[in-house]
Amino acid sequence: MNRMARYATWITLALLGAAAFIMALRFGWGRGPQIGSAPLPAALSAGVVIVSVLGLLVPERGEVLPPDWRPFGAVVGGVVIFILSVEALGLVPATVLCMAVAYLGQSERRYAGFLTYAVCFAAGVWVVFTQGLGLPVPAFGG
Amino acid sequence: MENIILGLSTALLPMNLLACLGGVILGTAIGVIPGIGAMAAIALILPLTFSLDPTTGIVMLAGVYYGAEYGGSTASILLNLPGTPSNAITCLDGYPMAQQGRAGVALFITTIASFVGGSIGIVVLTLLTPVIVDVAVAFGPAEYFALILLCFVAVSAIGALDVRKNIAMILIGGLVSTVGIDLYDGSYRYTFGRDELIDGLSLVPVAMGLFGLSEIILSVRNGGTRAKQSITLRSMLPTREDWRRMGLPMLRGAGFGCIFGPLPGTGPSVAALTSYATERRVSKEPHEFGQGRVEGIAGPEASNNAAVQTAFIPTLSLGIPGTPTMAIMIGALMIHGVVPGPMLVQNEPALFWGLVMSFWIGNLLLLVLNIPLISVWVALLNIPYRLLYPSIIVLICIGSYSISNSTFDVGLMLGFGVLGYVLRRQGFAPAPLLIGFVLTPMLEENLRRGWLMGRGDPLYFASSPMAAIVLLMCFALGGLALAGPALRRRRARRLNDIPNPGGHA
Repeated sequence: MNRMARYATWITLALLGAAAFIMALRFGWGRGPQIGSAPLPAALSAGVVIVSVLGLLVPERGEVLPPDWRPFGAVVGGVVIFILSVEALGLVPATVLCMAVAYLGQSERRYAGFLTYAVCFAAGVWVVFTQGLGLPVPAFGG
Repeated sequence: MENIILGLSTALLPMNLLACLGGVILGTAIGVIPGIGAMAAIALILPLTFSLDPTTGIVMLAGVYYGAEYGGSTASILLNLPGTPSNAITCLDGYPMAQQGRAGVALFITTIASFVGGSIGIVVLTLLTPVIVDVAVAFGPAEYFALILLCFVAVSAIGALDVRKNIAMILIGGLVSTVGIDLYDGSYRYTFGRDELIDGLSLVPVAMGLFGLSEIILSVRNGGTRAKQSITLRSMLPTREDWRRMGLPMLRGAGFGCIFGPLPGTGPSVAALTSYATERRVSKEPHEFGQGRVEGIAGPEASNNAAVQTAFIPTLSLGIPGTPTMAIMIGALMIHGVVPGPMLVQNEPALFWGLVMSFWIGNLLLLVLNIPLISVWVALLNIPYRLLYPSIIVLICIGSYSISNSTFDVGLMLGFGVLGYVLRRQGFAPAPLLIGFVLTPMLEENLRRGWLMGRGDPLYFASSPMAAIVLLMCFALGGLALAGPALRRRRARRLNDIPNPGGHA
């Protein structure tokens, strides 16, 4: 698992580097002593490919940890919910929904108390950011 | 002297004083939360400063920085959960002291050592920056190119993890920074037809994702450990023996901080580590280190805070950050329309000296506030993490959203958060990525200007003695970093070859 994960990481990086390099070839290369927009991204992406190949060839020490899916899914889900709801539903519902989904990342289950806290926090967020700092998002509604 | 008066008159403006106080308190409060380091704290607070005057905004962010460094030690001592790598050293003797019922003393020593180290760092910053600025005014593209390259090499070589991984991260950070329209020839790089990418990626979602969100995901599982502690003012007072023991380590630590703070790639972590190692070496009872020695806290904490202050020397005088945190500070300065470098000190003395004087005030505030407020920070530590982390996620989302009032930046922050998390689990450090992201545009600009000035001759970049020396340093450091693992293996083999005098297997 460890070795496979390592290979997968370096191969992904190498592929990303190669894709970036191919795209960079289409940028301008410049004329005479004027450097265009291509050389630096091309050099950087070529560097990523070379380092990734070295990473694949030369063994490394250290442990690779697999993702901890529960907190990962809850936190990512919370942010996705925020993105989907902040303009459609408003700041307060988006905040509460984001917090509720993120809360699922840990093992304790005290929903009633947490939701009360989340609603209070959302109200505070609206006061500070919308009323105080002028963030153009209404409390409710798009 | 007139610069100091100018700085004081700027720093003592009510708005700047308030910003400094707010920054120090917010920074300490965020730094206290385990797993959230100074970088995440600055990234979190950065959007709040957008509406402020540049000087006020930077004063606040600087307060957040040293406040978070201080706050991180509280979690280290009480919970054995460091907020930053430099605070990890404080755990070694701070946590055993807390277990022995001396948490208050440990926290008091941390406060005093932080103040002493920070103050010595500010003196060095005040004296050294104008000298460097005088030299740096004459720097051209060749010198800047070489210095940025040195920063890259140092970050790759000195980082604790695999050199290849650090190099890969710098290169990826550099690639990410090239996204957007190229101002020289107007071509679009990696924009994929998205209008939001034309202006390039903003620092805030990148930093918030890499350091804020990914740290939250990592700490959800183990952030819930809490130990009930109650600290009274009386329990914080050190004994006469404690006072005697902490004096010299603090001064030595501050010295290390002043040396390592301005050097690229080192910063507070290396300073704290060196200070701890030195204290252990000079001690008559080295075996007691790790069991609650006062010197094991005083030295590293002083060095840590001295390094935090002196890290501003290259950042402000050359515009080149030595550490990832300073890279965020540079980004913050640029967001506020301030270009760091020698011209900043010459053209905007009120901002520069105001900032330096605000460091003094901030350090004084840390000292005055944190001794009576320690029970508040301890109470903050007792707030269940299951309530704290969802709140922080919301603040990160709103901070990203506020950049251009668009969910695109929140999505970008999420993307970098996921990237940061995955890379950390794979043993990659995200800090070099940020250094690459911030410094590559400067590297490209100086490369282009230098290439033009040298009429396409690459030797132009080694044409001045300063540039040539720095390039040689790059090669030497790079060579050492690449050869290091092989040398270590050879030394280990040679040690294994030595016959065992005892004759045992």
